[in-house]
Amino acid sequence: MTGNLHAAAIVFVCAAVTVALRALPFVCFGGKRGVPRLVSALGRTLPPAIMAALVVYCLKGVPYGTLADGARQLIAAAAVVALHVWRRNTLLSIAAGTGLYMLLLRI
Amino acid sequence: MKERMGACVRAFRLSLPVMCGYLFLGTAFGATLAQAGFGPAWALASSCFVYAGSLQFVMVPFLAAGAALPTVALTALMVNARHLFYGLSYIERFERMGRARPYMIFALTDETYSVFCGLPGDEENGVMIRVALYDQCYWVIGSMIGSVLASQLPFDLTGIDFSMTALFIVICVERAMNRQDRAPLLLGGVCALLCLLLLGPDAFLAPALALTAFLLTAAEITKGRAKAS
Repeated sequence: MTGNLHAAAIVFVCAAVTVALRALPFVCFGGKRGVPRLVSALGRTLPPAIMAALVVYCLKGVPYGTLADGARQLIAAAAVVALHVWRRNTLLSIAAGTGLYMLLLRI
Repeated sequence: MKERMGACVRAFRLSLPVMCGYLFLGTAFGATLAQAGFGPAWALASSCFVYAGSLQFVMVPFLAAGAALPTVALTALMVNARHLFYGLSYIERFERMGRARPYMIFALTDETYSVFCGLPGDEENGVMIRVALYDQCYWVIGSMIGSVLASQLPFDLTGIDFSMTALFIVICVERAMNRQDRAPLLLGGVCALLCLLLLGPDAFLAPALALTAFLLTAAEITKGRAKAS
């Protein structure tokens, strides 16, 4: 029983830390306080920067994993870029890129 | 009525890539948790209340070992520190969300954030709220499937989680079409790559984002000064 209670406490702590991190910017700058100019400028420029960082995050195994797995991920990623520049169809690019990656994993 | 249907359909289409990733990763999470001896109720509680993919995976060995709470808190802080930066772009937008605002803040995961990044600035509330809600439903449903079926899944879906990577790439390509987004896009990528190579794959993202935010702010200050003089 103490085991379950402790496990529940672990889930609670993870939930509390996560929600605190997500809420902090809103608590600091939300409501009537208003958003300082620099922060609102950051709010505009940060999204594309974060998206690029998230791509690096997804591919973080490439420089540290095996050559074959790195190659599979980079080939599939390049295919997504090429297909999206060509057709600009979000679902098509994602489905084809994922399909290609799954295929490469199996050959 | 017709308008509401339209919002549902649009939100569903927007959330489809997340569906593939979340159902699969959620299933993997539920199964991992079940193998550690924690059944469906635990999977449900985690996916409803924690709702943070990578942290939930990190949580499993902690649960199994009954880790000390300060360790858990510190790890959660490090794994999820990147979320500090997501809200910054939605402070004013979420003010207009009415009663849904607390949920929108809670549900701002990497994937929901990236779907929002691909939306026009004047997107309807109804669509954004539904995207957030659908995404969490996929995650919860996935973790329940994994928890109940554990490792007896009938098909081999290994690799389908690449859809998350593909979603992020597509949004980057879309962003790269806007001239004013190109510099921050490049800066974010280069900072992340540098931090990855210098700090290793486990704890590079939050420092990379902090560095990027610092450089973007410095650039903004310099630009302001140049304009003033």
